Amino acid sequence: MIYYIFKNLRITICSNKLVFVLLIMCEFFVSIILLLSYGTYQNTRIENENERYDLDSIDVSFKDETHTNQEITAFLNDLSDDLLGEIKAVCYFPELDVKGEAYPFAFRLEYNKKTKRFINYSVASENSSLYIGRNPTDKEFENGEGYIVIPYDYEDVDLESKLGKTVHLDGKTYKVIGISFLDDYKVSYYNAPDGLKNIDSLYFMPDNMISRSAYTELEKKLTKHFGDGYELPEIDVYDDNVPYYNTIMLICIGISFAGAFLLMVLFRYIVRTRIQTIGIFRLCGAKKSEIIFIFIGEIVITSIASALLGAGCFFGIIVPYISKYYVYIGRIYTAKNIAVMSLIYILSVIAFMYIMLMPLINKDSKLKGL
Amino acid sequence: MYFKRLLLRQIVSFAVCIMLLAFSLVLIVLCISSLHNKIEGYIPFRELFSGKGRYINYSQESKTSDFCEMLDSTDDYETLYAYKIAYMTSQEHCDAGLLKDNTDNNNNLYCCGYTYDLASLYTPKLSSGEWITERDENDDMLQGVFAYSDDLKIGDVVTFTDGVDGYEDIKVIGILSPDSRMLGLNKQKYNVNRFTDFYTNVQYEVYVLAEDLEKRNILAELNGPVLVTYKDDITIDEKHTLDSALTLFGTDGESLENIQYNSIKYLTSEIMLIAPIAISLLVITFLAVSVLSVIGTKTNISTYNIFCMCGARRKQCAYYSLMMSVCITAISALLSGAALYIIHRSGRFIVIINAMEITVCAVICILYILSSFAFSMGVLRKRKDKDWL
Repeated sequence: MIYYIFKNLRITICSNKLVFVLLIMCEFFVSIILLLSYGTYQNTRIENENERYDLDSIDVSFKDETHTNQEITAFLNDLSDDLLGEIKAVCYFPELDVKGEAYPFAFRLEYNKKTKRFINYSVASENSSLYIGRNPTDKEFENGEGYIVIPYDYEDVDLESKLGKTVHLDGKTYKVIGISFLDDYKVSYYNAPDGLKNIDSLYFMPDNMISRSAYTELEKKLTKHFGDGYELPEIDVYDDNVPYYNTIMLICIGISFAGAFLLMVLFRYIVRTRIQTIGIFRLCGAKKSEIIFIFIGEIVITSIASALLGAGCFFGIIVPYISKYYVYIGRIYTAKNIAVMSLIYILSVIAFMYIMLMPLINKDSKLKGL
Repeated sequence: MYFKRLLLRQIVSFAVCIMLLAFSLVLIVLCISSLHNKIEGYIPFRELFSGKGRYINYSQESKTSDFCEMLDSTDDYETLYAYKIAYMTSQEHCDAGLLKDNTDNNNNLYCCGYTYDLASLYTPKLSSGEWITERDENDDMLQGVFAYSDDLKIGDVVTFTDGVDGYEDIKVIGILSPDSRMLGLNKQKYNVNRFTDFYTNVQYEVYVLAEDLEKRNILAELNGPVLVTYKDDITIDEKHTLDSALTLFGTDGESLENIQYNSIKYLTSEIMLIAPIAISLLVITFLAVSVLSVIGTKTNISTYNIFCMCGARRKQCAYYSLMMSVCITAISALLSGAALYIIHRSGRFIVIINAMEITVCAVICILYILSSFAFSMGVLRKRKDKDWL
């Protein structure tokens, strides 16, 4: 059988040199392109993730003066849905003066895109351990129910008895529903005491890399509400890199598809030109499985040879050159990755050939008529 | 008629060719758009940075008149790229709620005056109207480009006051797009290394020409980045003298040569990120063009045999091939245009259709058409009379 594979290959080379050369070139370049596309895709993805990491938090600090909760809520309510959609959480920490003593409060807010209202930041709620009781539910928070979670006080021996009791803060009444190990008081954003003040910072946690338009809006709204009395950390306004990275990734995927498509076109042509050979094999008594084996064997041999050559060129010449610019490429290619990619490549080639051969081989009546 | 029949017979091959070519065209446009996106910010500065000069971050404590006097005292400097800020108030503007996002507590509007040279370097994205360099010089009224506002339209006149007794009407000749990128300096950025640092968001309400402000004696002070270019034949000593003199007016100075060096370094690293992909794409496109041409010709060879036996010339057979490839190219171009439009509308990718993208796509299409014709002619010419039979 192997003898026939090589004999068939020799006949192909002799009878259709141009197409054979094109096939080898395609297989060679497609193997390089697949490896390069994968490397570029992964490198770009890591770079993109790292940029997102860099913008984990946008800390806005107020210069010279602090602001009241009313000013902050007016500012937050003025932000557009588009901007809030890019923000995972907003946090700020006001204080309330009660008889000369400052009580720390905390608002860790998440924007509910469906109801267009703020709720408790779920990650913060999940990670803040409660000594006893519970946090307000999202619905209670959105509806501004008069519930409060108070901080744990080590000196208070009768702490547990406070659960369920009501407290009066700045003219508002709250029911204690939980005692937290954190140092601050938590109430609903929509039912906060009026006297909350001394807010010196706002923390925005972007959901992804914040877009330039969202950043611009944030800056404009800050200027509108606080004049120039704030400091907003710089982001690179020139490079809105997300579309750039997306485009590179799309091109990588597209090139891989184009390569596969090109090979498919070539295989299709090769199989169509071999209809007479298949007929002769069948007339000489060859089984369908044997014919498939011969043709697939021929393609697999050329594919493996070209892929090995392509991989050699890629790792020997291209990778050392591009690693200066693709900083993460060194850690992308592992033996496992390469083995999986090679396997997918070979299996795809076999599958393509099989799909194209089967209709021809099954047309027995047509073949016997040759 | 024959062409139509031929086309219908090979509809599958025809569709495959169209898909492959359209796919390649889309990828080519995306690739060039990405490159374009990276270099478009550098293009305005290309000539400026290749000359001699210096950048300073102009200190607000320095007097603009002193600075201009210093520059006027020497013939060694050539051009000043800078902007001046005039503080104005427009009661009607603030009352109407226009642009109030940018006003400070005293309702001051910031009028930014670009020097003509700076304004000529780069035209920002406008939602309507024209950039300040296109103003009507014969018009007596001050003409400005305003920050984006729904309530403004081209031709509106806004009255400003300097807060004392001076009044000035500014005619709206252009309105900036909300996502416009302006020449200036990010307010939190002082160390300027490369061209990207000279771009910022829209920060001021009105953009006019600084020369027009001067003509009307409107007080405007230099602010932010100032780029001074020197004459080409300046000696090293003269350059040092000018550099030292400029340091009195601003900090964090940098020579244009260094900015040019850093800009090129940055661009190289950015372009190199996409260069291997671009090369791969070119290789695959050329392979696709060759494969499509060869396969197209070889598939049709038996049909051409029949044509020739019926008395057709070889050239006529090649013309069929040419017409087929023209059809494939036209449909592929339409399909790729539609695909690019959808990709562009998604807003997640960079799609720029400019002369560069169109030229490269046109070259690829022409190459495909010509190679199809050449392959057909080559194959048909090689065939001898006995082959036809």
